[in-house]
Amino acid sequence: MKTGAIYKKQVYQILSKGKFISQASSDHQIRTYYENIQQNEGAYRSYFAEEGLILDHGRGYYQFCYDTETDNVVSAILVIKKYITIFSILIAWQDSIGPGDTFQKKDLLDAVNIGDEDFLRELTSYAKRDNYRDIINDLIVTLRNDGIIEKFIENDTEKFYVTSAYNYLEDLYNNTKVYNEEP
Amino acid sequence: MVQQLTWQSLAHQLRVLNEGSSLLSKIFSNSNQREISVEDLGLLSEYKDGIADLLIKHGVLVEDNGFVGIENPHLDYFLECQAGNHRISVGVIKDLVDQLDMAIRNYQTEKSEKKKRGYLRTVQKVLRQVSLQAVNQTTVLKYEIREVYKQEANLEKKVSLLEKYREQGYDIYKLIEESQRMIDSEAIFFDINCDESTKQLKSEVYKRLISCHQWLSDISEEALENLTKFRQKIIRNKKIRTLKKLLDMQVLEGETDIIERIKVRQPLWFDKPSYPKYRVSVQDIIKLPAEKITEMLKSKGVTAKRRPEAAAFTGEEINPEKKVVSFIDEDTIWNKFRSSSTDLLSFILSRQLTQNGTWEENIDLFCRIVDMHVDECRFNGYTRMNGFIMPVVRPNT
Repeated sequence: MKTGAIYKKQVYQILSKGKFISQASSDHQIRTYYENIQQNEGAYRSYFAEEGLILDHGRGYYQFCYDTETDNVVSAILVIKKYITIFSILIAWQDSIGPGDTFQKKDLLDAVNIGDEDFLRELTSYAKRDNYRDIINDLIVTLRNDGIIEKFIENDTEKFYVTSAYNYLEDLYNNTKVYNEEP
Repeated sequence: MVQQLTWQSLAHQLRVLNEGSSLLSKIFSNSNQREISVEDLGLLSEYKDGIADLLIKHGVLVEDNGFVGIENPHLDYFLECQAGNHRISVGVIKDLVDQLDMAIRNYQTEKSEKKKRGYLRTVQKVLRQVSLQAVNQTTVLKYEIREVYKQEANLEKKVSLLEKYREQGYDIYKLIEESQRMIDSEAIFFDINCDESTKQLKSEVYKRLISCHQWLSDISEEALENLTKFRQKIIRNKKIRTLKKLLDMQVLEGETDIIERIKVRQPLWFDKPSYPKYRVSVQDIIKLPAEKITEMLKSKGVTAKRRPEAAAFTGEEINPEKKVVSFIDEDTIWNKFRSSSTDLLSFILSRQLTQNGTWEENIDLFCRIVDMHVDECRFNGYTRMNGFIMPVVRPNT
Protein backbone atom coordinates (compact mmCIF):
# COMPACT_ATOMS: atom_id res chain seq x y z
CA MET A 1 0.00 0.00 0.00
CA LYS A 2 1.37 3.39 -1.02
CA THR A 3 1.97 5.65 1.96
CA GLY A 4 -0.37 8.63 1.86
CA ALA A 5 -2.34 7.19 -1.06
CA ILE A 6 -6.08 7.54 -1.20
CA TYR A 7 -8.07 4.89 -3.01
CA LYS A 8 -11.07 6.94 -4.03
CA LYS A 9 -11.78 5.04 -7.22
CA GLN A 10 -11.41 1.59 -5.68
CA VAL A 11 -13.42 2.51 -2.57
CA TYR A 12 -16.12 4.12 -4.70
CA GLN A 13 -16.33 1.06 -6.94
CA ILE A 14 -16.97 -1.15 -3.92
CA LEU A 15 -19.30 1.07 -1.90
CA SER A 16 -21.35 2.32 -4.86
CA LYS A 17 -22.46 -1.25 -5.50
CA GLY A 18 -24.03 -1.33 -2.06
CA LYS A 19 -21.16 -3.33 -0.59
CA PHE A 20 -19.37 -2.79 2.71
CA ILE A 21 -15.74 -2.15 3.49
CA SER A 22 -15.27 -4.04 6.74
CA GLN A 23 -12.58 -4.07 9.36
CA ALA A 24 -13.39 -7.71 10.07
CA SER A 25 -13.01 -9.18 6.60
CA SER A 26 -11.29 -12.26 5.24
CA ASP A 27 -9.99 -10.14 2.33
CA HIS A 28 -6.69 -8.43 3.08
CA GLN A 29 -7.32 -5.77 0.43
CA ILE A 30 -10.64 -4.79 2.01
CA ARG A 31 -9.00 -4.49 5.43
CA THR A 32 -6.33 -2.30 3.85
CA TYR A 33 -9.01 -0.04 2.36
CA TYR A 34 -10.72 0.15 5.75
CA GLU A 35 -7.54 1.32 7.45
CA ASN A 36 -6.90 3.81 4.67
CA ILE A 37 -10.37 5.30 4.96
CA GLN A 38 -9.96 5.55 8.74
CA GLN A 39 -6.73 7.47 8.30
CA ASN A 40 -8.15 9.80 5.62
CA GLU A 41 -11.80 9.87 6.55
CA GLY A 42 -12.24 13.62 6.08
CA ALA A 43 -10.89 13.52 2.52
CA TYR A 44 -13.05 10.57 1.53
CA ARG A 45 -16.12 12.09 3.11
CA SER A 46 -15.75 15.40 1.24
CA TYR A 47 -15.12 13.66 -2.05
CA PHE A 48 -18.16 11.40 -1.83
CA ALA A 49 -20.38 14.20 -0.52
CA GLU A 50 -19.92 15.87 -3.92
CA GLU A 51 -21.50 12.74 -5.44
CA GLY A 52 -24.47 13.04 -3.10
CA LEU A 53 -23.40 10.13 -0.92
CA ILE A 54 -22.77 9.94 2.79
CA LEU A 55 -19.89 7.81 3.96
CA ASP A 56 -21.46 6.03 6.90
CA HIS A 57 -18.98 4.80 9.51
CA GLY A 58 -20.39 2.18 11.85
CA ARG A 59 -18.87 -0.38 14.20
CA GLY A 60 -16.03 -1.70 12.06
CA TYR A 61 -17.52 -0.91 8.64
CA TYR A 62 -18.07 1.79 6.03
CA GLN A 63 -21.01 1.96 3.66
CA PHE A 64 -22.75 4.54 1.50
CA CYS A 65 -26.03 6.09 2.51
CA TYR A 66 -28.19 8.54 0.63
CA ASP A 67 -27.70 12.10 1.74
CA THR A 68 -31.36 13.07 1.75
CA GLU A 69 -34.28 11.88 3.72
CA THR A 70 -36.63 9.77 1.73
CA ASP A 71 -40.17 8.52 1.98
CA ASN A 72 -39.46 5.79 -0.51
CA VAL A 73 -38.81 2.92 1.86
CA VAL A 74 -40.62 0.08 0.14
CA SER A 75 -37.53 -1.95 -0.71
CA ALA A 76 -35.90 -0.97 2.60
CA ILE A 77 -38.82 -2.44 4.56
CA LEU A 78 -38.47 -5.70 2.67
CA VAL A 79 -34.77 -5.90 3.52
CA ILE A 80 -35.39 -5.08 7.18
CA LYS A 81 -38.06 -7.75 7.48
CA LYS A 82 -35.95 -10.29 5.63
CA TYR A 83 -33.05 -9.71 7.97
CA ILE A 84 -35.13 -9.89 11.13
CA THR A 85 -35.98 -13.42 10.02
CA ILE A 86 -32.36 -14.16 9.09
CA PHE A 87 -31.11 -12.92 12.45
CA SER A 88 -33.72 -15.05 14.19
CA ILE A 89 -32.34 -18.06 12.32
CA LEU A 90 -28.74 -17.22 13.18
CA ILE A 91 -29.34 -16.68 16.90
CA ALA A 92 -31.50 -19.80 17.07
CA TRP A 93 -28.52 -21.66 15.61
CA GLN A 94 -25.75 -19.94 17.58
CA ASP A 95 -26.77 -17.26 20.02
CA SER A 96 -23.36 -15.62 20.27
CA ILE A 97 -22.63 -15.28 16.55
CA GLY A 98 -20.86 -12.09 15.48
CA PRO A 99 -18.15 -10.54 13.29
CA GLY A 100 -14.97 -12.57 13.04
CA ASP A 101 -16.79 -15.89 13.48
CA THR A 102 -16.37 -18.52 10.79
CA PHE A 103 -18.56 -21.46 9.90
CA GLN A 104 -19.20 -24.04 7.21
CA LYS A 105 -22.44 -24.91 5.48
CA LYS A 106 -22.32 -28.29 7.17
CA ASP A 107 -22.55 -26.60 10.60
CA LEU A 108 -26.00 -25.33 9.65
CA LEU A 109 -26.93 -28.70 8.18
CA ASP A 110 -25.80 -30.41 11.39
CA ALA A 111 -28.17 -28.16 13.33
CA VAL A 112 -30.96 -29.32 11.01
CA ASN A 113 -30.06 -32.96 11.70
CA ILE A 114 -30.09 -32.35 15.45
CA GLY A 115 -33.68 -31.20 14.98
CA ASP A 116 -33.61 -28.05 17.09
CA GLU A 117 -37.26 -26.95 16.94
CA ASP A 118 -36.65 -23.22 17.22
CA PHE A 119 -34.03 -23.33 14.50
CA LEU A 120 -36.19 -25.37 12.11
CA ARG A 121 -39.20 -23.16 12.70
CA GLU A 122 -37.22 -20.03 11.89
CA LEU A 123 -35.72 -21.67 8.79
CA THR A 124 -39.19 -22.57 7.53
CA SER A 125 -40.44 -19.02 8.11
CA TYR A 126 -37.61 -17.69 5.93
CA ALA A 127 -38.36 -19.45 2.66
CA LYS A 128 -40.69 -22.03 1.20
CA ARG A 129 -38.48 -24.72 -0.21
CA ASP A 130 -38.62 -28.47 -0.68
CA ASN A 131 -35.96 -29.16 1.88
CA TYR A 132 -33.86 -27.43 4.52
CA ARG A 133 -30.70 -27.75 2.45
CA ASP A 134 -32.21 -25.46 -0.21
CA ILE A 135 -33.24 -22.94 2.43
CA ILE A 136 -29.73 -22.90 3.83
CA ASN A 137 -28.26 -22.46 0.35
CA ASP A 138 -30.58 -19.49 -0.25
CA LEU A 139 -29.68 -18.03 3.12
CA ILE A 140 -25.97 -18.23 2.42
CA VAL A 141 -26.35 -16.70 -1.05
CA THR A 142 -28.34 -13.79 0.43
CA LEU A 143 -25.83 -13.18 3.20
CA ARG A 144 -22.96 -13.26 0.71
CA ASN A 145 -24.64 -10.99 -1.82
CA ASP A 146 -25.25 -8.39 0.87
CA GLY A 147 -21.70 -8.63 2.22
CA ILE A 148 -22.72 -9.89 5.66
CA ILE A 149 -20.55 -12.99 5.17
CA GLU A 150 -17.63 -13.73 2.87
CA LYS A 151 -16.56 -17.04 1.41
CA PHE A 152 -12.97 -18.19 1.80
CA ILE A 153 -11.10 -21.42 1.33
CA GLU A 154 -9.02 -22.96 4.12
CA ASN A 155 -7.31 -26.32 3.71
CA ASP A 156 -9.47 -27.01 0.62
CA THR A 157 -12.61 -26.45 2.68
CA GLU A 158 -15.19 -23.81 1.83
CA LYS A 159 -15.86 -21.63 4.86
CA PHE A 160 -17.73 -18.41 5.56
CA TYR A 161 -16.54 -15.42 7.54
CA VAL A 162 -18.93 -13.05 9.33
CA THR A 163 -17.87 -9.49 8.49
CA SER A 164 -18.34 -6.25 10.41
CA ALA A 165 -21.27 -5.51 8.10
CA TYR A 166 -23.21 -7.72 10.53
CA ASN A 167 -22.90 -4.89 13.07
CA TYR A 168 -24.98 -2.52 10.92
CA LEU A 169 -28.08 -4.64 11.21
CA GLU A 170 -27.37 -5.63 14.81
CA ASP A 171 -27.16 -1.97 15.82
CA LEU A 172 -30.21 -1.02 13.75
CA TYR A 173 -32.31 -3.63 15.53
CA ASN A 174 -30.76 -3.02 18.94
CA ASN A 175 -31.46 0.69 18.75
CA THR A 176 -34.99 0.32 17.38
CA LYS A 177 -37.51 1.59 19.85
CA VAL A 178 -40.38 -0.75 20.49
CA TYR A 179 -43.43 1.15 21.72
CA ASN A 180 -45.07 -0.60 24.65
CA GLU A 181 -42.09 -2.88 25.12
CA GLU A 182 -42.24 -5.06 28.23
CA PRO A 183 -39.34 -4.29 30.61
CA MET B 1 20.13 -32.52 48.37
CA VAL B 2 18.49 -29.22 49.29
CA GLN B 3 15.78 -28.34 46.81
CA GLN B 4 15.24 -24.88 45.62
CA LEU B 5 12.68 -23.45 43.28
CA THR B 6 14.76 -21.96 40.52
CA TRP B 7 12.20 -21.35 37.85
CA GLN B 8 13.02 -18.51 35.49
CA SER B 9 9.38 -17.45 35.41
CA LEU B 10 5.89 -18.70 36.02
CA ALA B 11 5.46 -19.55 32.37
CA HIS B 12 8.72 -21.48 32.46
CA GLN B 13 7.55 -23.50 35.47
CA LEU B 14 4.26 -24.38 33.84
CA ARG B 15 5.92 -25.29 30.59
CA VAL B 16 8.39 -27.68 32.22
CA LEU B 17 5.71 -29.33 34.35
CA ASN B 18 3.57 -29.70 31.27
CA GLU B 19 6.37 -31.28 29.24
CA GLY B 20 7.18 -33.67 32.05
CA SER B 21 3.59 -34.57 32.84
CA SER B 22 3.45 -37.72 30.72
CA LEU B 23 6.70 -38.98 32.27
CA LEU B 24 5.49 -38.19 35.77
CA SER B 25 2.18 -39.93 35.03
CA LYS B 26 4.00 -43.10 34.06
CA ILE B 27 6.27 -43.11 37.13
CA PHE B 28 3.71 -42.21 39.76
CA SER B 29 0.44 -43.57 38.42
CA ASN B 30 0.38 -45.78 41.47
CA SER B 31 0.02 -43.28 44.30
CA ASN B 32 1.90 -45.58 46.71
CA GLN B 33 5.00 -45.48 44.59
CA ARG B 34 7.20 -42.57 45.49
CA GLU B 35 10.40 -43.50 43.64
CA ILE B 36 11.76 -45.38 40.64
CA SER B 37 15.26 -46.70 39.87
CA VAL B 38 17.34 -44.69 37.43
CA GLU B 39 17.62 -47.72 35.06
CA ASP B 40 13.85 -48.24 34.98
CA LEU B 41 13.37 -44.53 34.39
CA GLY B 42 15.53 -44.70 31.28
CA LEU B 43 13.50 -47.64 29.91
CA LEU B 44 10.19 -45.77 29.95
CA SER B 45 8.92 -44.77 26.51
CA GLU B 46 7.92 -41.39 27.96
CA TYR B 47 11.51 -40.76 29.08
CA LYS B 48 13.00 -38.11 26.87
CA ASP B 49 16.56 -36.94 27.10
CA GLY B 50 16.54 -33.68 28.86
CA ILE B 51 13.11 -33.65 30.48
CA ALA B 52 14.02 -35.89 33.42
CA ASP B 53 17.18 -33.85 34.00
CA LEU B 54 15.16 -30.66 33.86
CA LEU B 55 12.73 -31.98 36.45
CA ILE B 56 15.63 -33.01 38.69
CA LYS B 57 17.38 -29.66 38.24
CA HIS B 58 14.24 -27.76 39.26
CA GLY B 59 13.62 -29.95 42.25
CA VAL B 60 10.48 -31.69 41.07
CA LEU B 61 12.35 -35.04 41.08
CA VAL B 62 15.12 -35.90 43.54
CA GLU B 63 17.92 -38.35 42.71
CA ASP B 64 19.24 -40.30 45.63
CA ASN B 65 21.25 -43.52 45.66
CA GLY B 66 20.31 -44.75 42.23
CA PHE B 67 16.64 -43.91 42.74
CA VAL B 68 14.57 -40.98 41.60
CA GLY B 69 11.70 -39.77 43.76
CA ILE B 70 9.21 -36.92 43.77
CA GLU B 71 9.11 -34.43 46.61
CA ASN B 72 5.97 -34.00 48.60
CA PRO B 73 4.47 -30.69 47.46
CA HIS B 74 4.96 -31.65 43.84
CA LEU B 75 3.59 -35.15 44.46
CA ASP B 76 0.40 -33.82 46.09
CA TYR B 77 -0.09 -31.28 43.33
CA PHE B 78 0.58 -33.86 40.71
CA LEU B 79 -1.75 -36.48 42.19
CA GLU B 80 -4.52 -33.91 42.41
CA CYS B 81 -4.14 -33.08 38.72
CA GLN B 82 -4.05 -36.75 37.84
CA ALA B 83 -7.21 -37.43 39.76
CA GLY B 84 -8.76 -34.75 37.57
CA ASN B 85 -9.23 -32.82 40.74
CA HIS B 86 -9.48 -29.59 38.85
CA ARG B 87 -11.43 -27.60 41.33
CA ILE B 88 -10.79 -24.24 42.75
CA SER B 89 -10.23 -24.73 46.47
CA VAL B 90 -9.13 -21.63 48.27
CA GLY B 91 -9.29 -23.52 51.58
CA VAL B 92 -6.04 -25.28 50.64
CA ILE B 93 -4.10 -22.01 50.51
CA LYS B 94 -5.63 -20.89 53.79
CA ASP B 95 -4.49 -24.12 55.50
CA LEU B 96 -0.97 -23.65 54.20
CA VAL B 97 -0.81 -20.09 55.45
CA ASP B 98 -1.87 -21.36 58.92
CA GLN B 99 0.77 -24.14 58.80
CA LEU B 100 3.48 -21.65 57.86
CA ASP B 101 2.49 -19.37 60.67
CA MET B 102 2.64 -22.24 63.17
CA ALA B 103 6.04 -23.50 61.92
CA ILE B 104 7.55 -20.02 62.28
CA ARG B 105 6.12 -19.63 65.81
CA ASN B 106 7.50 -23.01 66.79
CA TYR B 107 10.91 -22.23 65.30
CA GLN B 108 11.09 -18.98 67.19
CA THR B 109 10.16 -20.51 70.56
CA GLU B 110 12.12 -23.78 70.19
CA LYS B 111 15.41 -24.15 72.05
CA SER B 112 16.66 -27.45 70.59
CA GLU B 113 18.76 -26.89 67.45
CA LYS B 114 17.71 -30.22 65.97
CA LYS B 115 14.02 -29.39 66.35
CA LYS B 116 14.63 -25.89 65.03
CA ARG B 117 16.12 -27.40 61.86
CA GLY B 118 13.02 -29.57 61.58
CA TYR B 119 10.70 -26.53 61.86
CA LEU B 120 12.82 -24.73 59.28
CA ARG B 121 12.37 -27.63 56.87
CA THR B 122 8.62 -27.40 57.47
CA VAL B 123 8.73 -23.65 56.71
CA GLN B 124 10.54 -24.40 53.44
CA LYS B 125 8.14 -27.17 52.54
CA VAL B 126 5.09 -25.03 53.22
CA LEU B 127 6.54 -22.07 51.29
CA ARG B 128 6.96 -24.32 48.28
CA GLN B 129 3.42 -25.61 48.68
CA VAL B 130 1.99 -22.08 48.99
CA SER B 131 3.69 -21.15 45.73
CA LEU B 132 2.64 -24.31 43.96
CA GLN B 133 -0.94 -24.08 45.11
CA ALA B 134 -1.22 -20.44 44.06
CA VAL B 135 -0.03 -21.49 40.61
CA ASN B 136 -2.34 -24.50 40.64
CA GLN B 137 -5.47 -22.58 41.64
CA THR B 138 -4.77 -19.85 39.09
CA THR B 139 -4.17 -22.46 36.40
CA VAL B 140 -7.40 -24.27 37.25
CA LEU B 141 -9.32 -21.00 37.18
CA LYS B 142 -7.89 -20.13 33.76
CA TYR B 143 -8.69 -23.65 32.53
CA GLU B 144 -12.29 -23.49 33.80
CA ILE B 145 -12.87 -20.08 32.24
CA ARG B 146 -11.39 -21.22 28.93
CA GLU B 147 -13.72 -24.24 28.95
CA VAL B 148 -16.68 -21.90 29.40
CA TYR B 149 -15.65 -19.94 26.30
CA LYS B 150 -15.03 -23.09 24.28
CA GLN B 151 -17.67 -25.57 25.40
CA GLU B 152 -20.66 -23.71 26.72
CA ALA B 153 -22.99 -22.85 23.85
CA ASN B 154 -25.74 -21.13 25.79
CA LEU B 155 -25.07 -17.44 26.40
CA GLU B 156 -26.95 -17.18 29.67
CA LYS B 157 -25.12 -20.16 31.15
CA LYS B 158 -21.84 -18.67 29.91
CA VAL B 159 -22.61 -15.46 31.78
CA SER B 160 -23.59 -17.18 35.03
CA LEU B 161 -20.51 -19.45 34.97
CA LEU B 162 -18.19 -16.54 34.22
CA GLU B 163 -19.70 -14.55 37.08
CA LYS B 164 -19.12 -17.52 39.40
CA TYR B 165 -15.49 -17.91 38.30
CA ARG B 166 -14.83 -14.21 38.64
CA GLU B 167 -16.00 -14.45 42.25
CA GLN B 168 -13.67 -17.37 42.81
CA GLY B 169 -10.87 -15.37 41.20
CA TYR B 170 -11.42 -12.67 43.85
CA ASP B 171 -11.12 -15.34 46.56
CA ILE B 172 -7.82 -16.52 45.11
CA TYR B 173 -6.64 -12.89 44.98
CA LYS B 174 -7.45 -12.44 48.66
CA LEU B 175 -5.55 -15.51 49.66
CA ILE B 176 -2.50 -14.65 47.57
CA GLU B 177 -2.57 -11.24 49.21
CA GLU B 178 -2.89 -12.93 52.59
CA SER B 179 0.14 -15.12 51.86
CA GLN B 180 2.13 -12.07 50.80
CA ARG B 181 1.03 -10.19 53.91
CA MET B 182 2.00 -13.09 56.13
CA ILE B 183 5.45 -13.34 54.55
CA ASP B 184 5.83 -9.56 54.91
CA SER B 185 4.80 -9.69 58.54
CA GLU B 186 7.53 -12.29 59.20
CA ALA B 187 10.18 -10.09 57.61
CA ILE B 188 12.43 -10.30 60.66
CA PHE B 189 12.31 -14.09 60.63
CA PHE B 190 13.06 -14.35 56.89
CA ASP B 191 15.68 -11.59 56.81
CA ILE B 192 17.59 -12.38 59.99
CA ASN B 193 16.65 -15.58 61.75
CA CYS B 194 16.53 -18.17 59.00
CA ASP B 195 19.30 -19.68 56.87
CA GLU B 196 20.37 -18.63 53.35
CA SER B 197 18.45 -21.31 51.51
CA THR B 198 15.18 -20.35 53.26
CA LYS B 199 15.81 -16.67 52.51
CA GLN B 200 16.31 -17.46 48.83
CA LEU B 201 13.26 -19.69 48.79
CA LYS B 202 11.12 -17.00 50.37
CA SER B 203 12.28 -14.54 47.72
CA GLU B 204 11.39 -16.97 44.91
CA VAL B 205 7.99 -17.74 46.41
CA TYR B 206 7.24 -14.05 46.82
CA LYS B 207 8.04 -13.40 43.16
CA ARG B 208 5.83 -16.33 42.22
CA LEU B 209 2.93 -14.90 44.20
CA ILE B 210 3.35 -11.55 42.44
CA SER B 211 3.28 -13.34 39.06
CA CYS B 212 0.11 -15.22 40.04
CA HIS B 213 -1.47 -11.96 41.15
CA GLN B 214 -0.70 -10.39 37.78
CA TRP B 215 -1.89 -13.45 35.95
CA LEU B 216 -5.17 -13.42 37.86
CA SER B 217 -5.54 -9.77 37.02
CA ASP B 218 -5.23 -10.52 33.30
CA ILE B 219 -7.69 -13.43 33.54
CA SER B 220 -10.24 -11.26 35.40
CA GLU B 221 -9.92 -8.42 32.93
CA GLU B 222 -10.48 -10.75 29.99
CA ALA B 223 -13.43 -12.39 31.76
CA LEU B 224 -14.99 -9.00 32.45
CA GLU B 225 -14.65 -7.94 28.81
CA ASN B 226 -16.28 -11.15 27.68
CA LEU B 227 -19.02 -10.86 30.29
CA THR B 228 -19.90 -7.42 28.98
CA LYS B 229 -19.92 -8.74 25.42
CA PHE B 230 -22.13 -11.70 26.32
CA ARG B 231 -24.58 -9.56 28.25
CA GLN B 232 -24.89 -7.24 25.26
CA LYS B 233 -25.56 -10.21 23.02
CA ILE B 234 -28.29 -11.45 25.36
CA ILE B 235 -29.98 -8.04 25.15
CA ARG B 236 -29.61 -8.06 21.39
CA ASN B 237 -31.10 -11.53 21.06
CA LYS B 238 -34.07 -10.55 23.19
CA LYS B 239 -34.65 -7.54 20.93
CA ILE B 240 -34.48 -9.65 17.78
CA ARG B 241 -37.04 -12.09 19.21
CA THR B 242 -39.34 -9.19 20.06
CA LEU B 243 -39.02 -7.74 16.56
CA LYS B 244 -39.64 -11.15 15.03
CA LYS B 245 -42.79 -11.52 17.09
CA LEU B 246 -44.02 -8.12 15.91
CA LEU B 247 -43.12 -9.06 12.34
CA ASP B 248 -45.11 -12.30 12.59
CA MET B 249 -48.07 -10.33 13.95
CA GLN B 250 -47.59 -7.89 11.03
CA VAL B 251 -47.41 -4.88 13.33
CA LEU B 252 -43.69 -4.15 13.00
CA GLU B 253 -44.11 -0.77 11.28
CA GLY B 254 -46.74 0.45 13.72
CA GLU B 255 -45.14 -0.76 16.93
CA THR B 256 -41.56 0.40 16.34
CA ASP B 257 -39.70 3.43 15.00
CA ILE B 258 -37.62 1.40 12.56
CA ILE B 259 -39.14 2.99 9.48
CA GLU B 260 -38.44 6.50 10.76
CA ARG B 261 -34.81 5.52 11.29
CA ILE B 262 -34.49 4.26 7.73
CA LYS B 263 -36.09 7.37 6.24
CA VAL B 264 -33.45 9.54 7.88
CA ARG B 265 -30.44 7.47 6.86
CA GLN B 266 -31.04 4.85 4.17
CA PRO B 267 -28.07 2.77 3.05
CA LEU B 268 -27.52 2.18 -0.66
CA TRP B 269 -27.72 -1.57 -0.37
CA PHE B 270 -31.33 -1.43 0.81
CA ASP B 271 -32.20 -0.18 -2.64
CA LYS B 272 -30.48 -2.85 -4.72
CA PRO B 273 -32.82 -4.31 -7.34
CA SER B 274 -33.70 -7.88 -6.59
CA TYR B 275 -34.97 -10.27 -9.19
CA PRO B 276 -37.26 -13.12 -8.37
CA LYS B 277 -35.83 -16.57 -8.88
CA TYR B 278 -37.72 -19.53 -10.23
CA ARG B 279 -36.57 -23.10 -10.52
CA VAL B 280 -36.83 -24.77 -13.91
CA SER B 281 -35.15 -28.11 -14.47
CA VAL B 282 -32.36 -28.48 -17.00
CA GLN B 283 -34.27 -31.27 -18.74
CA ASP B 284 -37.22 -28.95 -19.30
CA ILE B 285 -34.96 -26.30 -20.77
CA ILE B 286 -33.49 -28.84 -23.21
CA LYS B 287 -36.66 -30.65 -24.20
CA LEU B 288 -39.43 -28.10 -24.04
CA PRO B 289 -39.96 -25.46 -26.68
CA ALA B 290 -39.38 -21.86 -25.65
CA GLU B 291 -43.13 -21.07 -25.69
CA LYS B 292 -43.81 -23.79 -23.11
CA ILE B 293 -41.14 -22.43 -20.79
CA THR B 294 -42.50 -18.92 -21.15
CA GLU B 295 -45.95 -20.25 -20.29
CA MET B 296 -44.58 -22.06 -17.23
CA LEU B 297 -42.87 -18.93 -15.98
CA LYS B 298 -45.98 -16.84 -16.66
CA SER B 299 -47.99 -19.21 -14.51
CA LYS B 300 -45.52 -18.47 -11.67
CA GLY B 301 -46.06 -14.77 -12.11
CA VAL B 302 -43.00 -13.97 -14.21
CA THR B 303 -43.78 -11.73 -17.14
CA ALA B 304 -41.41 -12.07 -20.01
CA LYS B 305 -40.14 -8.76 -21.15
CA ARG B 306 -37.21 -7.76 -23.20
CA ARG B 307 -34.57 -5.90 -21.30
CA PRO B 308 -33.85 -2.59 -22.92
CA GLU B 309 -30.73 -2.12 -24.94
CA ALA B 310 -28.06 -0.02 -23.34
CA ALA B 311 -28.21 3.69 -24.04
CA ALA B 312 -25.77 5.00 -26.60
CA PHE B 313 -22.48 6.37 -25.38
CA THR B 314 -22.64 10.11 -24.86
CA GLY B 315 -20.50 12.76 -26.49
CA GLU B 316 -18.25 12.72 -23.43
CA GLU B 317 -17.54 9.10 -23.97
CA ILE B 318 -17.04 9.06 -27.74
CA ASN B 319 -14.84 11.28 -29.82
CA PRO B 320 -17.49 13.05 -31.99
CA GLU B 321 -15.19 13.76 -34.90
CA LYS B 322 -13.99 10.27 -35.55
CA LYS B 323 -16.94 8.43 -34.02
CA VAL B 324 -14.35 5.98 -32.83
CA VAL B 325 -13.47 5.56 -29.22
CA SER B 326 -9.90 6.40 -28.41
CA PHE B 327 -10.24 5.33 -24.81
CA ILE B 328 -13.25 4.34 -22.70
CA ASP B 329 -13.00 3.41 -19.10
CA GLU B 330 -13.75 -0.31 -18.58
CA ASP B 331 -16.10 0.55 -15.75
CA THR B 332 -18.19 2.76 -18.04
CA ILE B 333 -18.41 -0.09 -20.56
CA TRP B 334 -19.38 -2.52 -17.80
CA ASN B 335 -22.09 -0.21 -16.44
CA LYS B 336 -23.57 0.15 -19.93
CA PHE B 337 -23.33 -3.56 -20.60
CA ARG B 338 -25.15 -4.46 -17.39
CA SER B 339 -28.36 -2.94 -18.64
CA SER B 340 -28.02 -4.71 -21.99
CA SER B 341 -29.58 -8.01 -22.97
CA THR B 342 -26.65 -9.30 -25.05
CA ASP B 343 -23.58 -11.13 -23.87
CA LEU B 344 -20.38 -9.17 -23.22
CA LEU B 345 -18.38 -10.12 -26.31
CA SER B 346 -21.30 -9.38 -28.66
CA PHE B 347 -21.74 -6.07 -26.86
CA ILE B 348 -18.10 -5.15 -27.46
CA LEU B 349 -18.08 -6.33 -31.09
CA SER B 350 -21.27 -4.45 -31.98
CA ARG B 351 -19.78 -1.13 -30.87
CA GLN B 352 -16.40 0.29 -31.75
CA LEU B 353 -14.91 0.38 -28.29
CA THR B 354 -11.25 -0.11 -29.13
CA GLN B 355 -8.69 1.96 -30.98
CA ASN B 356 -8.67 0.09 -34.30
CA GLY B 357 -11.55 -2.32 -33.74
CA THR B 358 -9.44 -5.40 -34.47
CA TRP B 359 -10.43 -8.85 -33.19
CA GLU B 360 -7.34 -9.00 -30.95
CA GLU B 361 -8.09 -5.60 -29.38
CA ASN B 362 -11.68 -6.56 -28.74
CA ILE B 363 -10.69 -9.87 -27.13
CA ASP B 364 -8.16 -8.05 -24.98
CA LEU B 365 -10.85 -5.60 -23.82
CA PHE B 366 -13.26 -8.51 -23.18
CA CYS B 367 -10.67 -10.27 -21.00
CA ARG B 368 -9.87 -7.09 -19.04
CA ILE B 369 -13.50 -6.39 -18.27
CA VAL B 370 -14.21 -9.98 -17.20
CA ASP B 371 -11.12 -9.96 -14.98
CA MET B 372 -12.25 -6.74 -13.26
CA HIS B 373 -15.80 -7.95 -12.69
CA VAL B 374 -15.33 -11.68 -12.36
CA ASP B 375 -17.64 -11.89 -9.30
CA GLU B 376 -20.39 -10.13 -11.22
CA CYS B 377 -20.23 -12.32 -14.31
CA ARG B 378 -22.23 -15.41 -15.18
CA PHE B 379 -20.90 -18.00 -17.58
CA ASN B 380 -23.59 -19.18 -20.02
CA GLY B 381 -21.88 -21.74 -22.21
CA TYR B 382 -20.04 -21.23 -25.49
CA THR B 383 -20.82 -19.81 -28.91
CA ARG B 384 -18.98 -19.52 -32.20
CA MET B 385 -17.80 -16.05 -33.15
CA ASN B 386 -15.48 -15.09 -35.95
CA GLY B 387 -14.53 -18.74 -36.36
CA PHE B 388 -13.59 -19.18 -32.69
CA ILE B 389 -15.45 -20.90 -29.86
CA MET B 390 -15.94 -18.14 -27.31
CA PRO B 391 -17.50 -18.09 -23.81
CA VAL B 392 -20.86 -16.42 -23.40
CA VAL B 393 -20.64 -14.05 -20.43
CA ARG B 394 -23.61 -12.18 -19.02
CA PRO B 395 -23.99 -10.08 -15.88
CA ASN B 396 -25.05 -11.81 -12.70
CA THR B 397 -28.63 -11.03 -11.77
